[in-house]
Amino acid sequence: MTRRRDAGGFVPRILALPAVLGLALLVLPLIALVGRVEWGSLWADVTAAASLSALGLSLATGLVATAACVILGVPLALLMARASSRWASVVRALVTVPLVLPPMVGGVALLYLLGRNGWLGPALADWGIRVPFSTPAVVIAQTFVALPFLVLSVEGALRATGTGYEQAAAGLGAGRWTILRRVTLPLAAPGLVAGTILCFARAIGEFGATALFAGNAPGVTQTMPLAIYTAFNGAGVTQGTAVALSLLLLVTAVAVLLLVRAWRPEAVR
Amino acid sequence: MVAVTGAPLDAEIVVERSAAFSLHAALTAAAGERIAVMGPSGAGKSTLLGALAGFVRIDRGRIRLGDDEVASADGARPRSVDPARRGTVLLGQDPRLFPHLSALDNVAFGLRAHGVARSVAHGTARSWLARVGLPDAASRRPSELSGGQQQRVALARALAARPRLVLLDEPLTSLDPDTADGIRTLVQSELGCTAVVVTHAAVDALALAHRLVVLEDGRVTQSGPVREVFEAPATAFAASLAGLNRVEGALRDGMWMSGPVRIPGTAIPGAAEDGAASPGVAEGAAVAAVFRPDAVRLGSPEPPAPGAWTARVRRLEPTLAGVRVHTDAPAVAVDLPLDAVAVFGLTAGMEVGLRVPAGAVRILPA
Repeated sequence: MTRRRDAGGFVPRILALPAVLGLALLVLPLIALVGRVEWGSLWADVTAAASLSALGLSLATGLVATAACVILGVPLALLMARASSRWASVVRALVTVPLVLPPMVGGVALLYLLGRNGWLGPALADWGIRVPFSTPAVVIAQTFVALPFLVLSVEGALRATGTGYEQAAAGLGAGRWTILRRVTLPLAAPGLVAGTILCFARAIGEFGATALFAGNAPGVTQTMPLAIYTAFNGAGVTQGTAVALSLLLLVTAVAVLLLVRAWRPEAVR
Repeated sequence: MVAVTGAPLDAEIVVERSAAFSLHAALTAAAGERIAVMGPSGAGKSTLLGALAGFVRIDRGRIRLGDDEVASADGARPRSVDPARRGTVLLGQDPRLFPHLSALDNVAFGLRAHGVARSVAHGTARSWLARVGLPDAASRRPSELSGGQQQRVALARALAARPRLVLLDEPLTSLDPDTADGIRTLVQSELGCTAVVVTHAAVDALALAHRLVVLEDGRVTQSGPVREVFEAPATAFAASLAGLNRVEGALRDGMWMSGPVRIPGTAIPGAAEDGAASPGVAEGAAVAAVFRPDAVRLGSPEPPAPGAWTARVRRLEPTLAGVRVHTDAPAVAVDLPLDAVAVFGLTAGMEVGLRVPAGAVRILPA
């Protein structure tokens, strides 16, 4: 079968101009960033003390936040996927809010829930727990913004698989936990893996909520995004380090995209 | 011959789905007996299977499997045992094999879900795969198997779990005739368990089941040994399943009549002339005349032959042997060879003369 060159469909040709401009807007800044990197001092920049502290904090909080998202998000996704469509729509709308909410607003909201003068603040203070401006606060902020990614990805995978296999398993005598372990989760695995990876990427990239709720203390709450911001405001790590950290985050983002896409063909079962 | 397994079934099922639909059905089976359930779409067959399996809650009645009451809704506390613990297994048109497990793991699934050790479960699974004719398929994934092979594995999976009751929901419908034939033979020889088989094909009921239950509009209209139901259908639908014509009428003056239709020579049952008729039917009583479509003789409407009636052709349906002519008032089907259509110039809407020799008719109580 010979392949004929497609005439490009019926799109008006002049639209190529804004299309290229759009693409340039997305790609050129990243190329400029990569171009600004001082390759000679890259390793030293990245392993400077302040930089390592931000890097280590980001990784640690990101991993803990991702774990929290999995522990909290998978049950939520399971219940959403098997609920009636009316309830599921309501819950899905609620879960999607942090995706479109400005992250800073999320930070303010967390402050008003867990802060000293917030809703639960006084009760927590009675137990000697002060959440804002601590490392756990970073984890909470990251979980808040990253959880929807996991929940929506897993819920999508569960809905696509449907309940037929679970019914077949129940008919063969499998109890609920057996069905979850041997049928539901293995079949939702592609969505779960993709969701977890996206979740991690979002968590380590989080800035707004972290800045407001957790603050900017080096070694305690200064994650990579905060360190980069501070550097460009003339304090903290050097600009060279800031650029190196930015490059690191960019590489992570690209790696995440590749990993998630690598799983996608199997997700379409 | 395979061993008889499974539990005796005793069920009285009432499901009130909505104002428009309700199901009232009683079903019993001895251990190892297979019951076919047939009915038009919407009759409630899937609801019946769902209630037996435990996916549909019954509103009244009870279901007993062996010594256990697995569902009851009479009296104060309705209770229903989970599908997982009932010992029933449901096999539908879609084999629903777990796509991420091999055929062997699929067949072993029920056993392992009950706590059987892995090696023992695998051994049993292998022997079941051999019994369904797929000894080499153990390590293959469902996506590597054909539709017929998948149904065989699904059957092995269902039976390996040693159920008390097997529920088959039109298991042969999505298969081509040769494959369906293979599975039909397999079920006949390997299914020794109590079973309820929903099917729309009379050949499946005859091959697979001991007794037949006809379900129409949520009610059982006839039940009995398969052959007997087909030979003496009690409703028009049952007759259509058996491929017979069934017209209700009355016996008068030595003739069976229904509206314009007359079949002379049919006598009061017990007398010599006609075919097998049931005794104890009085003159003038309502009876049904049952006769095969190929026994009907077609002629021109004018002049009317003795014992003939005029009917209007409603539609022509091609069959394997020729053409089936559906006529109206009363609804009678006539089987003819293909060339008869040309000879008579048959088209929808035209009038024809029909008659049936008394010898081809059986009289049954209506």
